[in-house]
Amino acid sequence: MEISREISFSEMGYPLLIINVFLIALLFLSIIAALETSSPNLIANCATVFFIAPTIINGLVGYFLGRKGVKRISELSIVITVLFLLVGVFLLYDAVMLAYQGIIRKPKITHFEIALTIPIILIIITYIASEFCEKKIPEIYWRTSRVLGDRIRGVLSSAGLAIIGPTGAFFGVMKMDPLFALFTILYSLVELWRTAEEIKFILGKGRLLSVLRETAERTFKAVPVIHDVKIDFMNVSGRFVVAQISSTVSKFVEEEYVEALSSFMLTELINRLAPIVYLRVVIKLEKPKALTVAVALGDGEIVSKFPSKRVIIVTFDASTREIKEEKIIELKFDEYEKVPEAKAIENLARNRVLVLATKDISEIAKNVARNWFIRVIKTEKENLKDVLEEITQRFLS
Amino acid sequence: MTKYLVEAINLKKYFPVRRFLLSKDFVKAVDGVTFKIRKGECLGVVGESGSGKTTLGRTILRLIEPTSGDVLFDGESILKFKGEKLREFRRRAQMVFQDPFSSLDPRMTIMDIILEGPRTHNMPIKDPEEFVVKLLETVGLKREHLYRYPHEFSGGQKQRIAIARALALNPEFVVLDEPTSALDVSVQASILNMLKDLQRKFGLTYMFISHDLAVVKYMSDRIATMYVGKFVEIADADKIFKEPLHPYTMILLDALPVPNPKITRARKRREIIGEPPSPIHLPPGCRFYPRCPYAMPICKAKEPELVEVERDREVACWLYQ
Repeated sequence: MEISREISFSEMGYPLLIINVFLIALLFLSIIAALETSSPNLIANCATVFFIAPTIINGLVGYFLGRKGVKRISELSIVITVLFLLVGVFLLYDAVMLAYQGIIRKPKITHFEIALTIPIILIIITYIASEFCEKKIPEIYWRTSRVLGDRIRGVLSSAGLAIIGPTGAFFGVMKMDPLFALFTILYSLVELWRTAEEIKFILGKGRLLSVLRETAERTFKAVPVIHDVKIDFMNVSGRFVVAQISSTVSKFVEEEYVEALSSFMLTELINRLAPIVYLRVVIKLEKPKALTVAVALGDGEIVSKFPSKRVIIVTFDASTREIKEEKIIELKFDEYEKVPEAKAIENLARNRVLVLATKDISEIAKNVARNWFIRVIKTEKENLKDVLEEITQRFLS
Repeated sequence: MTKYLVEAINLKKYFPVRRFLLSKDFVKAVDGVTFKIRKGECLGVVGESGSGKTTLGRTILRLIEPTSGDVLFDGESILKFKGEKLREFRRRAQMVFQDPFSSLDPRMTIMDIILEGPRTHNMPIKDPEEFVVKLLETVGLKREHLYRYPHEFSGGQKQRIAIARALALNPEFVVLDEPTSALDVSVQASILNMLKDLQRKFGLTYMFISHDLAVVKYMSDRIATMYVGKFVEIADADKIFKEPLHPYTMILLDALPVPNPKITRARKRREIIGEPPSPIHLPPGCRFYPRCPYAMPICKAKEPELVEVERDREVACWLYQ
């Protein structure tokens, strides 16, 4: 049996799609403004939009290709980033040359209506896009929405700067356009630097992989029902992480808690790996190789209610049903321990107990066991041997 | 007529924090708080600094507008109050602030300070001087203080004046926001006793906000523990002190000094680990789990609801769900 959970289209795919539609509009308008007006400000602004675009496009590409299980996302995102950077650098060179010519000679600027209107439209679109980004992406992915929002707001700053020069020219100060273009060009260089850093981020994905491995090894495997965790793939698309992990979970976990288990894994990874655009957690329910059970003991080998002073932990070989290991642990806590049941169950979890057999169990212990995904069975039998027999019959036959 | 004077329903107060240009984050000072206060009862609210206690007190008095949720006062939503109805609510619900040094106008005499409220509300007062003297005597001050200025009083006396000012409007509900935290211990006791006497005498309903558990225990019938904008436990004061259920309440109580050195030495104090999370970006799941000694896998994935675990006792913790 296999269960999988992923970041859904409505949570991430749809907002990314819409933000990319906004981006296309921004690109289209800034190209028109640059071509029609010959203003170095608007050309530099167009370069800025090209520098910002790969982050947002890589987000979308990462989501959809990650969903399809494509593994070479990082390489593709580098190609996208480099292509956009090249176009942007070409535009920026043009803006520098035009600004230089404008300063030493008489500057040329045409189509004032376009030069003044398009930056305002860009500002409006950017505002709507950033609001959309903050409202539509669920709060748990706040790091993702922050990256998207910060980049898209770069267009706002750039368009805000780009409108000042042409406005001066419109009122007759023709030199203001090329002179002020120096600021727009400088800002564009800042955005160029930020995008170039993304390539560094992509190349340094090994660090993220080690975070993922650590989460898998330490956090997930600390839960007794999770036997194994495998990283199917982990990629970086621009500034965003795309990953899929598979885990083998004991089939003895009650089905109603598998959902909570997948939710735990998904949330933990989102929290650790963000900014993330796509994540899939696959849970395979399998019969474990060994079954570790705990039986609450009273005096001698008499089964008692839980929490008890001691428990016996028995590990069965799942195929032969033979006892591989057994040990008795004392569940002693100091008198100031307020919830000894919780500590007792935590102790069982550390010993990778999958099933707890007891005569009776306190409400808190039952809750804690369930929240650690440990199955609790209440038994009528008094004797340890009978209880162990009952467990093997129930789970290993 | 309802038996509850104040009811907060999923009350939220978020403060926007601007970063670069348009980007907005929100400090979730109060994040979905639901509770009821019975008539004549004192509900204590405890929690560490920055947990949202004061914001909660101000929001339920509509001194600041809530982001969402509702507050019912005597069964009616205070958010719908306008004009005369709102003025009437302002009279019926008062607040005593933490710092008596800054809550009194230094340019006004005590007589004017106390009469300011009744004058604003056009309350008919036959003999203003006698009215103020009576109030001053109620809070343990004398006639000779009538025409003095705030700087002529000690901290404890100033807080008494602030209380007299609140009482001048004959309120039914008073939010006491750490009324003794700026005062020294000897003065604290007399103010607390006076507040208790006034509650009995005038049948007042209190919401007592403090980070001092001993003070809250003394004053309150029920106590709510607040952690990063949410109530994590509400129960009778005795029950909370006898057997706290939420790990955060346990840790708060463990931090209380015990007047017996033997016990203090013997008791292993559970020390709270780390700092509270940022109220802007809360961790997914239970907001206390990064510091909780009993954290379980479920705590990281889902936030526990405040549920009734026994009669008149609610806890938001996966240990009980």
